[in-house]
Amino acid sequence: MPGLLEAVQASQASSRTVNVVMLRLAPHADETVVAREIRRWKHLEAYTRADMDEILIAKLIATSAKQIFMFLVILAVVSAAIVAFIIYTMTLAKVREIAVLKLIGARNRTIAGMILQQALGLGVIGFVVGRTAAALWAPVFPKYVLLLPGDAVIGAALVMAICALASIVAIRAALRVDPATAIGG
Amino acid sequence: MTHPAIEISGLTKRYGAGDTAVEALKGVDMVVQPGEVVGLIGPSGSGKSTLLKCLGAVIEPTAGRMALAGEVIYDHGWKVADLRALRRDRIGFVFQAPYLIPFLDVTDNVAVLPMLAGEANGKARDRAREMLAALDVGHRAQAQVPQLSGGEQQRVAIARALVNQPPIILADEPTAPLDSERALTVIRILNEMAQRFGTAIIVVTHDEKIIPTFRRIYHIRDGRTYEEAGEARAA
Repeated sequence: MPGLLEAVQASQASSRTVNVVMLRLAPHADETVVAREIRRWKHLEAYTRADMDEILIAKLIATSAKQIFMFLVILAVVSAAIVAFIIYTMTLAKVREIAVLKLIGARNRTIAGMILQQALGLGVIGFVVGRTAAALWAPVFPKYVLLLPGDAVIGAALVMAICALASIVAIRAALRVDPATAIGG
Repeated sequence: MTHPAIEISGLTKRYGAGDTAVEALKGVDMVVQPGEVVGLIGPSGSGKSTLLKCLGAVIEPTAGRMALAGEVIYDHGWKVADLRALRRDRIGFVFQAPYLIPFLDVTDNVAVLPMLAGEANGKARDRAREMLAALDVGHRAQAQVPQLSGGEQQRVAIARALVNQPPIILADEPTAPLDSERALTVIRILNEMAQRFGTAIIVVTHDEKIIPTFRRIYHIRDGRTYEEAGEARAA
């Protein structure tokens, strides 16, 4: 194994232990054969380029992806709660207007549609601000996260779905408003 | 033969049951002709709001009879299947506050009623602009609600009540937040619109400044109405 001894000696000059040695094989050398030979030595393990790719992708990147996914789920739940709270508060502030709309003949689905539009509008604003901020700030973040156009489309669809779900509580509250409350004190 | 715009006889409304029952209306009688503006005056708790809610088809009376423009809508039970459509097409409402939709412009705030009735958006907006012009707020048609003064907002609310040309309008203390000049202007507009469109208007009010403007007044006290005749008022 050309260079192995020199590499071990060089590393021992500065450190008393050797953890990892990277090998560059001669052209046409079979890496699986080399790895098998090394594994015969006691206390040594050898990984080929394919093994390293597997470790990187299946373990490190997959673990990071799971962590990021978990953060996304938590953020989605928190976002849904915030949007629901905002829309619900805005709806409660308009109880009298909703009662008037019902009194003058608006259908429940018209009122529900107005609240849904408000929630989706909030989602569109949030997505545009978020996507713009991500594009501007991504270069200064220590870890590069690749955002593909397809991811943005899926993200937009998820934001809209979250906002639509978040508006359900407010819609239920609006539909319970009695049109009679528009009249009198 | 022209039918009265509003004809009520023996209208009763009881809340609750048994020993705790409260009779808010005790056989109310009322007749209002097309084009007439009538005042409805009474202290708090006298039954004004309950009467307005019954007339507005938002609460069901307990007994009695109500007819709008000759059509019986209540006779010991509703005689109209779609109360929402009845309110939309045949009853206009004006409230103490304008309650305009803040994110729509003035035209759309008025056009919303014909739109709810299924009219095409363009035609509904044309009708809204005509009604706004009739109420001297045509120049504010493109404005947003927060840009309007209180008096302008109340005119827009009246335009909204009139745009479907309902035979009756129920006005619930429409001048309460306004100063004397603006209050009298609102009443003048309601009188003009009643004459122009033949609309019967009932104005519930406590407002001393506008009471003398009514030719006919119904007083309501303890759930019963008493008519103050024109002759008595003139005297």
